[in-house]
Amino acid sequence: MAVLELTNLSIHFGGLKAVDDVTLAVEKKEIFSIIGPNGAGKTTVFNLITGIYQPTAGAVILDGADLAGKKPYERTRFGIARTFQNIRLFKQLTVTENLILAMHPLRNISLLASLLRFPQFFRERRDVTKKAESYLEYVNLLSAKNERAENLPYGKQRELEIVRAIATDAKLLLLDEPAAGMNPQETIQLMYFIKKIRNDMNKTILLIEHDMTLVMGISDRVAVLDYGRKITEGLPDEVRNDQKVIDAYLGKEVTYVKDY
Amino acid sequence: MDIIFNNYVLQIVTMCCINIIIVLGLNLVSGITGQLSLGHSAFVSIGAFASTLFILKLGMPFWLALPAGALVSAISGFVLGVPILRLRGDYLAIVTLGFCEIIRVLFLNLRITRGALGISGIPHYTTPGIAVTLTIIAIIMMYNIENSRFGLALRSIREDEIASELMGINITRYKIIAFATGSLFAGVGGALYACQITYISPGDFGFMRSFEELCMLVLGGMGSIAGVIAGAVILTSIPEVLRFASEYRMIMYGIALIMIMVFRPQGLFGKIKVNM
Ligand SMILES: Nc1ncnc2c1ncn2[C@@H]1O[C@H](COP(=O)(O)OP(=O)(O)OP(=O)(O)O)[C@@H](O)[C@H]1O
Ligand SMILES: [Mg+2]
Repeated sequence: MAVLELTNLSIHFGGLKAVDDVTLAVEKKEIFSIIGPNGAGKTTVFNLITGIYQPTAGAVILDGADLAGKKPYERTRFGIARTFQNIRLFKQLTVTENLILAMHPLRNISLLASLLRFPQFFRERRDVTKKAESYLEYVNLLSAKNERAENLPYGKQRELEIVRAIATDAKLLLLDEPAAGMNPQETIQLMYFIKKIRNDMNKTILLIEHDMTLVMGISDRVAVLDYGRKITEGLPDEVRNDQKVIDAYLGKEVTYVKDY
Repeated sequence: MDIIFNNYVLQIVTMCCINIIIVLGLNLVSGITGQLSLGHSAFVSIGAFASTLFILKLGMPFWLALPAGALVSAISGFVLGVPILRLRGDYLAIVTLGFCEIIRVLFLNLRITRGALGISGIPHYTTPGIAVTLTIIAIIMMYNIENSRFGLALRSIREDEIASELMGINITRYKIIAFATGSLFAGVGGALYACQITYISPGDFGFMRSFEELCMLVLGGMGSIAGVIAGAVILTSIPEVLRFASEYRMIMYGIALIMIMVFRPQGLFGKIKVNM
């Protein structure tokens, strides 16, 4: 059964159909990419899945359950986590604190125990810090654990945001342009990293990306959006050679698509 | 002379303590959670009037009237917080400012609070010992709140509301609890104030009072407990020491604020920026 299904999903902003009748299904452990020109509605699809926007029509279905009316924080608890096109870390908090926040719903400690500093307060704090550090070790960020997130170099911030999404224990990860601003070498590393988390941790991954090396290199399937509509979907090779896709990317990006 | 002097110093110490407790509450709302409130003094006045009435009308002892008054203040904070904490930035500031004026006008027109006359003859229960003890407890509690799971969630709301919600945090609920808790601290301060000055009137708690509390917080540094203490002590004691200049108190506040904004925007002890 599909982990995530979008059925006839639409959202209109006034006259603009930012997402228009999109239907797709993402299978368990799949890496599914959404590509499309700027303004095609990709990020808006993520905002609909995470509940930041309510659809004008259609449904978001997670593991067979319709998420209509569910708040963003509830959807996180159901197992959806995301990163943002413009990194949204808790800048003035430490790297470790960023990760501990991801585990917020999983933590079991009462406010009273924290106020009065019962022994379980210290125990829980030690456990959650340890868990955060094990995630940091996984991405080689342990040495920066007490840094403020804003002081990390850009590439590290992207990695921290991904590992923060993982730390929510989500089964479905939504990654919005993780390679944006990375050089080719970093992009290749990111590609291996995304594959690794899928394999090591059994995650299902929905990826938005402009970098065709990355998309063609790791996707099991690719869907293409243009003006809010899904114009095609298929294996990376099928999509790459689809005339509709080439037309959608007209001009500057058409060669880009062909080249890779 | 010595006795008078000591008494005078102790009075200033007591007022510093009261303001520390009040501004700690404001810091929780604005410095930690990032929700700008211009109506904090409304909750000080609710705590002051409620505990005063509990003492004078119901004959409650001070040790019971103080937490009871603070509780009334916390409940008011909760009731106000539910509808308004969906608002952001300037809208929230304007609504809290409006609430502050509404409470002032309400107390001005209620028979039981004796309108503009105010209530005098409140027993002088607030000793320096009580004020200092409660201040120490308040500081410890606030430190523990800030470093709890709850406090970390509040700080994440300040940093980025959307990212915070996507960590699975019910941000509206947390903001409301923070607002009610901040009001509780304001209420404790209000009760202590009433039983220190022994006379309260609605005019003591208008917008200007809220503004003074915000000045203390900004001067010391948003989000910093050390900053709260420094800001409250400085802006409480300077006007007392420079009595002759008390006419110019608001001008001094204004100048202090401008200097801080220009030379040290994060406040004397602050380490963070708060965008509101
Ligand atoms: N809240 C909103 N109100 C009005 N219009 C919006 C809103 N959110 C998105 N849009 C519009 O919807 C369209 C799709 O935007 P979206 O951000 O989803 O594009 P995208 O495919 O992610 O593009 P990019 O590759 O540049 O990130 C754009 O025209 C955008 O201006
Ligand atoms: Mg986008």
